[in-house]
Amino acid sequence: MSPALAIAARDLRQKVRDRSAIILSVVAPLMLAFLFSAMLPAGSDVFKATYAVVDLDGGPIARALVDGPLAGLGPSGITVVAAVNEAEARGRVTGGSAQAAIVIPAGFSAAVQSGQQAHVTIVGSVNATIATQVLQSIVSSFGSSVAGVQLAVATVTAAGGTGAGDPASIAREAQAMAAPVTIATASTTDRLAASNTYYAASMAVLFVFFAAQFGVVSLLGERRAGTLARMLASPISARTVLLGKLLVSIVLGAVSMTIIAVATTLLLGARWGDPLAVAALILTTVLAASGIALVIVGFARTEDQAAGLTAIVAMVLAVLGGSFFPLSQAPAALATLSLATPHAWFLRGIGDLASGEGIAVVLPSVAVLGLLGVVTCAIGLVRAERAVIPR
Amino acid sequence: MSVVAADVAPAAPQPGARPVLRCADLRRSFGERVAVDGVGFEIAPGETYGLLGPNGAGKTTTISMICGLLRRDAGEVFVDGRPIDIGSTSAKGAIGYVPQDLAIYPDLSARENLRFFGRLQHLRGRDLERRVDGVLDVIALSDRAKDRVESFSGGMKRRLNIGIGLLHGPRLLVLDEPTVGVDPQSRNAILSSIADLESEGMAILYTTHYMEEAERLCDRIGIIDEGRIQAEGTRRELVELIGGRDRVTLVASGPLGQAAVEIRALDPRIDEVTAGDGAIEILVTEARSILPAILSTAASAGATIRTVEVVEPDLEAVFLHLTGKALRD
Repeated sequence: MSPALAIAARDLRQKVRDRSAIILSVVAPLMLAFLFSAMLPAGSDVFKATYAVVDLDGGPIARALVDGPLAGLGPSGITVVAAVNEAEARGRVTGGSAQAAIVIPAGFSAAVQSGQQAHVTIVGSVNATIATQVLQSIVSSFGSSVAGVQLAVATVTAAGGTGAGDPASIAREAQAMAAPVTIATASTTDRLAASNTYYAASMAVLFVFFAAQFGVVSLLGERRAGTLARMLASPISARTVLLGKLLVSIVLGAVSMTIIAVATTLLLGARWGDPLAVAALILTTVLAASGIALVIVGFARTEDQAAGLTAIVAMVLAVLGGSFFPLSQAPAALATLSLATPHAWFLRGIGDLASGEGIAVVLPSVAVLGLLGVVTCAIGLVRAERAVIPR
Repeated sequence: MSVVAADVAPAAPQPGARPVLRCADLRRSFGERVAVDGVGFEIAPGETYGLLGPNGAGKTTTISMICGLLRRDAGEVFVDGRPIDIGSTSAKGAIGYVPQDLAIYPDLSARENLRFFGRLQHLRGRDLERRVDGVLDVIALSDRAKDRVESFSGGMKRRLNIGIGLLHGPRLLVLDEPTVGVDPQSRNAILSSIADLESEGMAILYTTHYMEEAERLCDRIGIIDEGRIQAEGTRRELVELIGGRDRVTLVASGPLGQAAVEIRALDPRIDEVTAGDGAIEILVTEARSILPAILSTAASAGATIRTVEVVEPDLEAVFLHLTGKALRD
């Protein structure tokens, strides 16, 4: 066994005996992944809402709205329930059984058919602004359609043509027609894994920094205890000691992430994707986390200081890198900033694998993570050798 | 603790052999503070050299430079003929380093500690196990080999701390105040084992601020203070620096005057003999070596000796003379 391997083996044995490393590297991220998945169960990434509809009009235009765009929302995860009156609808919204309500007043259809201004009332929950905005958009869109039909009818009438029917019939037919132009959303930046996979991956990449610190931070402990000097008095180089410690970080990080991936797959139904691609992402991410941990050790004077710095760096990078919320929901500037974090590239890789493709799709992420790992490890080795090794 | 394992010690010294350690003009400063200022000495095979000085005198800094643990501002170090510097690797294999503080892993057993540090010395397989067993015998921990070190007494930990330095059979054993905080029984055991190692031919560099240890163990002593070797030599040579002689007092009865005359004529190292009221006072160089002859002469002159007291000028007095302060200040 080479001296570097002997150092790594001794440390790993000590970490196994000392449960704290296992708790922070495996148990804590698994628990958080379970909690997040429980709070945001699978499929929650699909928008869901319930709308209460009060049709006090019952006329053809009102029916066209209720039976048309509102009734067609089911596949989008929106449930429409009927309410007898506005009070009941408001009660549902206040009570939380509906996120928003629409009240169509009596005379609505007549007003539309006579070309007068018609009003509907939308009641939204303060806790469901997005659901309310969606309902407003649907009604606004319906209003535009009706206005278009009115314009068409007026044009036909003005031209002396024969009516193809009453405006309500025309409106229904217009609603039923397929849109001449449809827009498909296809962005390369917001490919998302299912929520359980996302949170499993997020916690894995967040906590890999804590796992990685266990290896290299022990350098400071050994310096304090005098065992580092004793090692350096042996016929081995300082670089050998550092490599041994770095190896501990890499092994702990890889084991931590692998256990989380396997456990969340078996217990949460997370779908990480192609195992080879996931392994490549894990290894390069661990390398980057270990390198960053070694850089931190190079700037810390004590183990406590290093642990504190690691926690700060890990949390900041996690926030920037999208470990707590998908970057697709982040401002553009934050999304750009996130590209400097291993978290963003790892989560992007996992998101890419959700498409079902193999390792080729994650090669850009693997390349960036690998580069981050090599650069941070190189800087960390130089810095730690200067700062930690007695001179 | 007794030393029986030849495995852990090099061969006996050969006449005219080159010094195992040669260091010269070592200098090291920390900022404005000069910690070591021109220290140099040599240690021959089978010789124990003591660096005696108070805390902060520069002993540990000197040792750290000798072991390649600390960069030096100037000077040179050769161990077994090979230069040692901070970047040296293979040459460090000739050194067994025993730091002042316990540098062992409390969560490992004694055997596991020895195995780990043995692997760092590039020891493998059967050779490693054989040496581990040998050292466990030497430090009298064979029966506790599998126990975690955290359950050991302070003395046992100290012995293991020393044992790790012996494992690879170094040419030079560097001991940095190995008995600090050790109970008297363990201290005696440690000092006896070090004396045995010297007899096996190992060169030993021993730092201490305990005068009695330096006097008991060391063939030559360097008195160090404020980063400089103030004086160097055998204990006798150092004592002679201050003109010190031993005082022997024989409390006796009988013809004390006649006994005094015969004792005075016994050996030229006896400078002065006075017979007084029930006692003979003798000023002599190297009293310990000549004492049997003195006693024999007094008895043959008809004196009945009841008690003997020998007072030797010690290194404490030398240190006080050289530095103007007490050794433990």
